[in-house]
Amino acid sequence: MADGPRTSRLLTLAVAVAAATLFGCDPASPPQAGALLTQPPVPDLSGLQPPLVRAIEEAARAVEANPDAAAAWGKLGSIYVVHDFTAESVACLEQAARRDPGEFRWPYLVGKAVLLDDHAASLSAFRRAHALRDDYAPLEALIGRALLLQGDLDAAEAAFRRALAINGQLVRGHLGLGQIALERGDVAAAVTALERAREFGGQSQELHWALAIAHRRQGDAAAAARAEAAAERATVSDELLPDPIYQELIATLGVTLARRNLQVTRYLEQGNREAALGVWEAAVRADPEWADPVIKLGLLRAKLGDTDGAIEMLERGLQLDPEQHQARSSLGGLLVKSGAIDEGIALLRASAAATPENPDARFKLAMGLARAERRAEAIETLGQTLELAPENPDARFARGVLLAMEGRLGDAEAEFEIAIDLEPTRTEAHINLARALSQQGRLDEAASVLRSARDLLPHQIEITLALAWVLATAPDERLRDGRAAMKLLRPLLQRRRAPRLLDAYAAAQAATGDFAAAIRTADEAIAALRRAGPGGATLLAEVESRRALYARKRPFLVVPERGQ
Amino acid sequence: MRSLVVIAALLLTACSGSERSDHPAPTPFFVDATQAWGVDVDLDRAAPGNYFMPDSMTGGVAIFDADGDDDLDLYLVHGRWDVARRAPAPDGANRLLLQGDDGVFRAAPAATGAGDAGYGMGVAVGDADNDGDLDLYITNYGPDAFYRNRGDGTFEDATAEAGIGNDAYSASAGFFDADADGWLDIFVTNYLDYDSVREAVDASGRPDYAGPSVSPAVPDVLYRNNGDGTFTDITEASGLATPGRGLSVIFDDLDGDGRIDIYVGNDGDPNFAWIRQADGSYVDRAAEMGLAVNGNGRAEAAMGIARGDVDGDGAEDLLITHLVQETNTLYRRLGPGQFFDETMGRGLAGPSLDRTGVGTAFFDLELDGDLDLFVANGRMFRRRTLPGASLGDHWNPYAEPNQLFVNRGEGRFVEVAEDCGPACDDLEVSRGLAAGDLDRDGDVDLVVANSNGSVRLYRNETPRQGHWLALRAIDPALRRDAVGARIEVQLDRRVLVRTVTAARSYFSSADLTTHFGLGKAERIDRIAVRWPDGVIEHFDGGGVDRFRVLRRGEGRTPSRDG
Repeated sequence: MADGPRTSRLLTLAVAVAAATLFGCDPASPPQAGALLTQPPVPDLSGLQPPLVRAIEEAARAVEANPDAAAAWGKLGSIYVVHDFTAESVACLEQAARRDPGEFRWPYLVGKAVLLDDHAASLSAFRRAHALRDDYAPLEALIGRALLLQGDLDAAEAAFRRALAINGQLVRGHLGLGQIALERGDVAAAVTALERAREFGGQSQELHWALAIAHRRQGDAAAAARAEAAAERATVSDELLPDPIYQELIATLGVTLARRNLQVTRYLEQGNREAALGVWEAAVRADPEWADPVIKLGLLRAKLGDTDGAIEMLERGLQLDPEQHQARSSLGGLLVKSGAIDEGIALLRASAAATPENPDARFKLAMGLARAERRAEAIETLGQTLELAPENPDARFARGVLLAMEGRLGDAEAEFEIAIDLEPTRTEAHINLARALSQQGRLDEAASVLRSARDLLPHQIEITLALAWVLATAPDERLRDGRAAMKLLRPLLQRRRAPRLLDAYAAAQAATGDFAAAIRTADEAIAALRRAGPGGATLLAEVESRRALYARKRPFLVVPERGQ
Repeated sequence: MRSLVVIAALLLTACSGSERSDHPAPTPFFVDATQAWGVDVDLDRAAPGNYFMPDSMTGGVAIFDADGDDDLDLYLVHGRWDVARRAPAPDGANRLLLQGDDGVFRAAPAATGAGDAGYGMGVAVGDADNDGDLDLYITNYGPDAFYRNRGDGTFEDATAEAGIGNDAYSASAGFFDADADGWLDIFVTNYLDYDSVREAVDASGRPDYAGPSVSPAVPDVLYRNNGDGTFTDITEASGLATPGRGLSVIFDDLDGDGRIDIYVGNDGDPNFAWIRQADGSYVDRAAEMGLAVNGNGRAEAAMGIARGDVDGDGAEDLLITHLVQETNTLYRRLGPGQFFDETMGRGLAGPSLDRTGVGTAFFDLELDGDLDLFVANGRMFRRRTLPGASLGDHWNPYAEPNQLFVNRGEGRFVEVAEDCGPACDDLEVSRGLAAGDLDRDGDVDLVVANSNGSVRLYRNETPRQGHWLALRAIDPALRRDAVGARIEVQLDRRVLVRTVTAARSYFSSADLTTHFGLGKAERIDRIAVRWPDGVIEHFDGGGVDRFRVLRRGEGRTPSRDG
């Protein structure tokens, strides 16, 4: 390890002890093979984030103060586990196990620590943990998975069954049984187990693919195809094994930005905004002079809509570290949003100038300029952004919108087309392209764009609504098709009688000549908009004017505004 | 079989290091011949503290005869990133090493013209213009490049002229005749849309290389060879524009209909088995063929692909290398369009769980007549540094040993670490791997390219258990190797099969000469070649331990053969 990371002599000793214990020929060797240590291993702390350094130093001091205390060794080892210092964590946790051989967590965490480094040692540690506690379902499932990967199907099955005896709804347990049945060629048993996993909330690609394989082997191509489609839709690449012990460690001992980010993400997924904010607030309290958590808190507040709170934190963060150009850029955008336009744009310009190769800074400047209604400058800046990052769909789309607002519809059309090529699922790009075409009088092309978009994104209401609107209001009788528009809108209205849908439906009814029905539908829209209050005033006025047309037995037709 | 004796001895003594015998260690199966063969290159990529994702992925290598002198030369792909300029560094050109008559490799002069200065990832080799020499397709992080061989081992950049315009972050590529028109087409796997500004960190907050899941997938590319020196991108027209994180590719008639299909290994996503239809379009049938995910339903990392008939049933099987905590996966070919994950019980699962497998190749190590397996390993993410790593602070946490698996005769393998020698002892961050008989002594040597910058040439010194035969299949009408041809060597009691192809492994290109270990057979009964258009031709068997060239038209058709 001459060229490896610098470590203290004690670390070298500790690692050697741990290695002898863990990585020797007999992976099931008990921990008593190593010597009792009195000094904890400490890695090279240079370059680590301040709270982690502090946490390690504090826990190491606790060990030095009371080297006989298993809890002190265990805490330091746990800090190392959470932050992926494998060798140090194993050394400490084995010391904890020596002093407190009845505590299940120490060997359990050893197994977690070496899971990616040494499969056999990990399984060995899990077995030691299992000997101490046999009622922790995540441990049984981990043992089962390790054995399954090794091909020991009988032992893996026993482990998964033990896991399910503890928690009958454990998705990983049923999935594991299904995978074992697949390996054995017992397809019927595989389908049964995998369906159970699905019933208990399993959504992973792995589960759906396993089901697809099982159905295919059963000869049920249709079921296999359904499972494959579900697998392709699944966004979860793997089941997160519920592991309260490890999750608790992450929440209490995870102090790096990466680990706190993990907590924040989990809380946001749970919809717990307060807890998510609390993670960064705690980090700021712990390290008020460290810019990163202050800025993270600011960015999270911005994300959650607290503009003033975000500005306060970002300003503070930039005082602590003026080199955080992305934070400056974000602050600039927020200031523009809050009305401090000149100040915000100045910051955005400073950030873009400080990082001339960074397209993101230019993009944010452009967005600030756009928000300040300085469209020509915004368009030019977006052009600079695209020189740096020609395939940035956000910049393409934004430039298209601004060009359209400036009446440069042909240029806008080109940008929207590129944006769609780059990101075909961006609904707004399809709609804005259709709008740009409509404004140039090319309604048939607009309808074609929207039909293609609807084929691609059949569940996007906005696209269906836009297509229905074009069909209902086209001045050209060859394109206008009220019945087709009604057919598109009917399923949407069955789910929700929203004013915009009603307005479009009324226009479609009028296009078929059924003005009485159009008036009734417009009245329903008007009533809904009045109930909605001042937010719907503009649409209310438009619907009322259209109703007046229907009363005169005239359909509402959109006359294109011709641009460049 | 000496190898089995060695293996048995290994199993007996594996856990008794202190009781090891004092007998002198046997000659390792592979010796490091890098220096002896004159290769002294440092392709170091990473600027200190810089974790530019392609640095951890690159490492393509090609073995081919660049200058037509009947020996094998080397092409080493290099990528070096200028962080400040966010562009390839000027000193990151690829290297061509030509083998001289003395067996030593020497750097080709810069004027040779193939030192592409893009940020290199991989290389494909094929005769694109049917002029009898081998051309190069270079995959880059950034615009790819195409170099036409002038016939004398010098190259000209024909990228623009050929109409090659792939500027994605590409990975593996290969030449194959997709439409059976006699001109080799090019398929390129594109990896993902990587944002080099985005920083990745590990759990302790230290920077690390980014994983694939944070970057969007992108479609691969198929270029049709127009036969006039130009290519046309027919990806969309062929139905191939589905995004994926493609890393590896082979070409094979997967469904047995006589048309060549495309199998793409995707990183973390289900693999593609693009099956060519009668109208020239492709349909992905990986799921129904059992090739999309492993037998447990898990989409794996799919870094490299090895192909070979591991169990002697006459059908070539596929092995795909994967990340740590995933086994390498053996898909056994049961019949046309039918594959089955048979990793378990074949000795390949357990030993691969702690390793990140990347480049890989099947070849007959000891010439006993069955295919053995080599896997080049190297981590993609920082982990505990293994004892003995000496690559410096940056690369040590990514270094792993490579692995050699010996076939016990029926498609069941055993890892041989101790006798393997430096090829399995060196702790490096291995990526590209190409296998070929570099010194033309009848056994297969290895070239391993490492992300940490070194390139190793391992000479095969394994005690031989039998004879060998090396075959080139050439179609004189096309003036080139019959890429896609299937060769069957018929021995007394069995048939050995190989496919003529350079595309395999990870980002790399192998020798187009097919190599057969023959075991104790001292005579070949017959050689059958199924040419890419389906015509079968038989050639006389003959002696062993030799190189032969099979020219189309010089054999006999089966009907005349009786």
